[in-house]
Amino acid sequence: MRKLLLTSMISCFMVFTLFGQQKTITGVITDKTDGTPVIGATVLVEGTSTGTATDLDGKYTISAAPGATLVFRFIGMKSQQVTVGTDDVINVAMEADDIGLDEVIVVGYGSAIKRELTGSITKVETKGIAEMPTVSFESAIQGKTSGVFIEQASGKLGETVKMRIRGSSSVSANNQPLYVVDGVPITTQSLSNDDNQPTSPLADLAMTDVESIQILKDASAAAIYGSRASNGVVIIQTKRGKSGATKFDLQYTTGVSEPSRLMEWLDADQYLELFNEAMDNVSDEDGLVWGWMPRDEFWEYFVGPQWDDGHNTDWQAEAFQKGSINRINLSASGGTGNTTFYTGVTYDDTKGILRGNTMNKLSARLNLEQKATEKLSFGVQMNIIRTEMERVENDNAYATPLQLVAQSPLTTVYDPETGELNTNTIYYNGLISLRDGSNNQTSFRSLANLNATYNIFKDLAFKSEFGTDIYDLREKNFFGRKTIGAGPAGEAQNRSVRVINYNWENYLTYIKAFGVHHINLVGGMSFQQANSTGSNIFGKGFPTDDFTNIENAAEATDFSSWEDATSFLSYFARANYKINEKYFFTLSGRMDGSSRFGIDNRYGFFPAASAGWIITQEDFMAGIENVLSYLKLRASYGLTGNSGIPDYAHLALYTGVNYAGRNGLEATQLQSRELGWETTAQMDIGVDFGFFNNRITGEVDYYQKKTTDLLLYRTLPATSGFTGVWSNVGELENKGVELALHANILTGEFIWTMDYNMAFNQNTIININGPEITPNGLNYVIEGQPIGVFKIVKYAGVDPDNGDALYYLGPDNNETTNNFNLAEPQIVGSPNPDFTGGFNNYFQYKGFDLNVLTSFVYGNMVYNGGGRYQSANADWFDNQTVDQMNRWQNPGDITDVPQARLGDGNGSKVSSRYLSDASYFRLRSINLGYNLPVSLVSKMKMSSLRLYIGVQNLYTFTNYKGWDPEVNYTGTGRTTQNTNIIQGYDFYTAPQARTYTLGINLSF
Amino acid sequence: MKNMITRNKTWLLLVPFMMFLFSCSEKLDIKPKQSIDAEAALTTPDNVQATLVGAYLKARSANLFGSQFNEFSELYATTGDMIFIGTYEEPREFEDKEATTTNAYVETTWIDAYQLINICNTLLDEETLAILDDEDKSRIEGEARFLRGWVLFEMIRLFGLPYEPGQANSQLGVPIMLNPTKDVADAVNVARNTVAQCYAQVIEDLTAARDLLPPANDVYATSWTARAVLARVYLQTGQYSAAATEANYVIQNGPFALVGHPLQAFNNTSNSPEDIFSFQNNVASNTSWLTVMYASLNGMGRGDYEIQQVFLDRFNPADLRGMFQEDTEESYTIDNITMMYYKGVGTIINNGGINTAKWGDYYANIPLIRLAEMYLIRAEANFEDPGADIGPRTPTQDINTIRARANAPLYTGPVTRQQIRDERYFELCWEGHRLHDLKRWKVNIGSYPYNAGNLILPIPFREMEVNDLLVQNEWYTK
Repeated sequence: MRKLLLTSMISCFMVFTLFGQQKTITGVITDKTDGTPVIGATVLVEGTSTGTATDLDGKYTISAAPGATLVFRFIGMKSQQVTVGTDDVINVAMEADDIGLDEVIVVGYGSAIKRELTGSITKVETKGIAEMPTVSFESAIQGKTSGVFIEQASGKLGETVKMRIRGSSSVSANNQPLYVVDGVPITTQSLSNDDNQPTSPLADLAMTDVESIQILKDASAAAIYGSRASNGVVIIQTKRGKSGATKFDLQYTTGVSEPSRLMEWLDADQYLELFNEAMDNVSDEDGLVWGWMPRDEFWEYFVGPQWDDGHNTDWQAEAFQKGSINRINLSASGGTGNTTFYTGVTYDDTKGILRGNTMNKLSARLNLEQKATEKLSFGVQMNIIRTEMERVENDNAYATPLQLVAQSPLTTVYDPETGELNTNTIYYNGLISLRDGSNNQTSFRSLANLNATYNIFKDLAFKSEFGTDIYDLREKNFFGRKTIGAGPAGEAQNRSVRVINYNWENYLTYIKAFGVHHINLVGGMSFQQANSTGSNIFGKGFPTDDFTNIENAAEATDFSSWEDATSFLSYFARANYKINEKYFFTLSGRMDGSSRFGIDNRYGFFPAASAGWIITQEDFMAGIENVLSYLKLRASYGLTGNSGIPDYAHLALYTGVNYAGRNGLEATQLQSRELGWETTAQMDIGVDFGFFNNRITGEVDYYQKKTTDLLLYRTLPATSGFTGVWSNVGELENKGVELALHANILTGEFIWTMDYNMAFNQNTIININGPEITPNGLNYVIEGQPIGVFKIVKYAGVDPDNGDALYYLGPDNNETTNNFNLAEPQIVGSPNPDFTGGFNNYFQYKGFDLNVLTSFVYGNMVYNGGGRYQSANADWFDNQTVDQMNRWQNPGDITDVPQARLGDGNGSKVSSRYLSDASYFRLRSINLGYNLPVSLVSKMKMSSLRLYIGVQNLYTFTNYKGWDPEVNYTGTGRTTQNTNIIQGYDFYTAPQARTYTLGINLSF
Repeated sequence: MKNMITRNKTWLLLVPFMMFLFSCSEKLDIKPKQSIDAEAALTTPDNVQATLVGAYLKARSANLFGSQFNEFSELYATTGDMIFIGTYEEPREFEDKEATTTNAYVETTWIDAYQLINICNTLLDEETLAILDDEDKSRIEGEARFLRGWVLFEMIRLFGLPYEPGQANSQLGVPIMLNPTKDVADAVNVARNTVAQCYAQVIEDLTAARDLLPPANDVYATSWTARAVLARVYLQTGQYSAAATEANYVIQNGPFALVGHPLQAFNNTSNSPEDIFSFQNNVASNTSWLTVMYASLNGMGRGDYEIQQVFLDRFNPADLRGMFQEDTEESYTIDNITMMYYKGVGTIINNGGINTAKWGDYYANIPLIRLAEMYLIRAEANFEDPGADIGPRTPTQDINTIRARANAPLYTGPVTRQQIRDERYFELCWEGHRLHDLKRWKVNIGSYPYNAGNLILPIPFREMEVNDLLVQNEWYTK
């Protein structure tokens, strides 16, 4: 039977082949831009299985009948079709295609074209990102990719940006994606000291150097990165030179910035009114507040002597400064013969919106490719970066600028008598820290990657890549004698960290076409090790504030040094198989070993399989190209891992301590011999489509990610002497739908393209085999709930009879009480959005173009940790938000602000009163550019001249009452687990900047 | 032929690659550099000694003896003599006598106390003791039992309802842990023991420590220290003659002497003659939290615990222990403070109030057992059990010894019970004794009876969640 089928199929082919008179056609395929031969392009006779590929000189030979159509394809180039006529020679010049189905996507250990992908990989539109004034590239791509949720923690410069690809896949281990720059998994975790917020080593990358960013989302795409791929992979490729005349680019961007949103605070009159009332409400019959002192004495005692001097200070304004940005970039690229290069220098000087916050970055890059022989080529990518920041203190410090809002409007910034900063304020005047202190962080970084490719045979290539990321960070902090806690004679801290991260990869690539069958095999190994060393020293007691080096300190109060390492040894392989440009299959696997795991469970294996089918290539779909031009189905399933836990988590450890001048030992950790990988099994089903000759294209994906053997810091009864142990217990799930649409609404002279993307993700903790986990008493890990869900007492408003704050008794009890202690905490909301997305429009007319980027987040809650001080109906002398004037005053008043009672805690306990919906829609970037006509530009001996103006964060639509709904303060002394769980937490956290920019880009 | 050469070259290229493939496996064995494996930790006498040093560090933790034991006691006991004026939620709850089960102080105290107990249990493990010579063995065993007994004593007082002399004391105390957690399998759920069982364990440990410890042991626990804590335990449990016996032994035979001025007993960088035991602080290793909370000085202290005038009014005007230094300046450190109380000058947050000078230097020692207390114990125990009549001095003479040092007028007639109790307050205020004294005397705290359920701490929420054998204190279940 089978034989019969085969025979009939063969005879069918023969019928086709014999149809018409065959002739031999030859030709050369070249690159239209520079005329160089295109090697390895495929040439197919349409509708048949006849195909070939171009050789090293770009030449091909194929036989086809007159009237047949030849299809020329090469990744990254637009496909072309030529009908065979009388000529026996058909030469084709192919054009580069950056957008669309034939665009080149860099995948792990190779590249592919979008049309042939079987996994879920998104190439992020990078056009225009170099014109954006954001510090880190993640901020520039916010809202551009479906299923990639990017959140900036605050408006402070250089801080870690949260990126979640298809949700949080872990509770205690890392949830950030793996970042691979030019093939090297780079250092991304914050190395700054834990007393301040984390900073992002990714901010070091100069955006002008970035050629492409691709995000690997599903298991099929990511599994080649095995044990670190559970959270997706971000692959960044930097620019390469092209053969030809040297092209110079000079870009300059300048701008100013201001806070994107402000909060409204009480002025002096309102403040006096509210607090007088708050004191009266807690006074006895003799007019003594708390039965202790009369009101005026209270004012004097707590707010200070200025209270009745008639001042009205806007402290919020003191926290901010006018920000600015100046960025200049000069790059050159080109090449001759066998050598191509790209080189660029960027200097970026940003002044933040928070007083005392600045950052400047100097980056130089050289990318060089050399074709040494016919068989051997090698390349080098080198980047040297210096980043310097003046930081402000963490959000939960009196010295941080935004905590100035807590000061009373009745007190002045400067003492009117001395002209010095006022020290008679209710809280420490944080401006003293800005005047007498400094918080400097400098990093030097060198990213270098050397690679060589040797073509062993025509189809078999061996590639070896050695990459390093050497990162050196220094922090120098000084606290003058008058700054908080640094008396009597000042304190200083010097801290340095160096991470040497190297990665060596060796792999073979075999590419071969057999008629309609095409295989692409990759296999190899990689070894990565990161060594981290550091030291930290605190000194105290300086002769004067002019001495800021530890050298001059009277004594060293704390000192430490450390040395840590982690390593990965991996073997990987992948097979791509395609048939007739219609059916695509991929199998991949990676075996990873890591030093982070217990000796019994050191290696993990991560396989994945996927398939794709371009339905529109089928004959039965022919004829409807004008309506449904492209339809492809994709499905994948695979395993990925997560190893993002602290080094040595599996060992029982004793650490050295010191008491009374003697060395001691302290047990810090129990052994976990069997500690192994956390595994995520992910299934993805996707549809890619194009309508109306691909006028509208898009993709829809459904995925389900189940993470098992969670790397959980499992809670132990503390009576054991330990609070927890790293274990593989529990499971969680993410599932969701992603949608991305791209529409070329108008083409021709007036171009309008629209991009829309939206992603729904639902995260559920299935089980954690132990008690609920909470790092802060707000965000919890609870079975059946999404990670970080808020569990607190639910606020029930105000008793209209007496102005008492009311709380619901419990989750199953809607009765209310004014006794907070009787109210049982309940689940009141989730910090995880229901959906996120972006809506972007691009217009072009003549030389003008306009790019409007927006992003939205819906359904997440934010808890304002500062609320109980800021909006507490005058519970304490902190200045209050104006909505507190709406407090209960008389029986019958209907309001949600309780009666003002000084020090009574009426409604100021941690409750859902300070939890609010933080959905937002943000006009993230609007950029208008003008390219001068070529005729004019060429007279100026340039190839192009572009001018642009832009505004970032022009407006944010939200009901959130705080500064910024896009916020997260994860606290100090954080662990990965805390960072994962603490979400949607605002604590005097700075809003993002609104930045107006102006720039010019010259090419010659 | 050409093909052959190509092939050879190819294999040459692959050789280092293949070698590398199989040579890195051992590179996955990375040992920590700042820590040592538990296996190695307890295998040499030096490391065992170092583990013991770690136990003292843990005991000095701000969550234990270093501060919170003091704060719980003083905050629960205050009804206006001291006011908390800070912004932290945790102390406010104790001052209000309304703690919550998630209070971070309560949780950290619980955790650290059992970490300390586990360190002691590790030291007391037979395998550990077996590697020591005899002299070290009895000393280290004595120190470990001393620390375990002492911290258990504090824990029962805080988490259990008061000990009632002559009763069964079957009310719940805290779990008694006597075995080390060597492996995660040892971290099992345990139930609370009764107050009676806990005290029996405390007395057993301290008695053993008293007999094992040497009379001199640098700044670490000695037999005197064990005796002094035993005297406290006996006093707390109404075993007056035993209390007087231990206190008397320390006074009569110990190498201690009262310092000249009451303030000299504090803020010392080395032990004073009066110190029977003090936790050591220095620049490189210190627990500063007591000073952070009580002091309001240049660069030191938030001044959150403000002493009130009504309290100073209790003192005789001549009493050095109630003197107030009002003319302070912003530049003042503890070196400029000459009186027991001063007007706060702190730059951190609160100033202008009355602050105690007992805790005024982050880097000075924390005296926890002073000779003065032994006089007070002997006086009170002899007074309450006149039949005991232990030691060469009458209660009046003992009280006058303390008053004389403070320049307070001496009592001429026999002291009354109230005078003895007041003297304890005058002498030992802000040192963490008050709550336990009031409970011992069955004195109301504000409107709450001494044994009110809200005057003990809750079992921390996190512990209740993880261990279903634990029973919560009743007041916290309402």
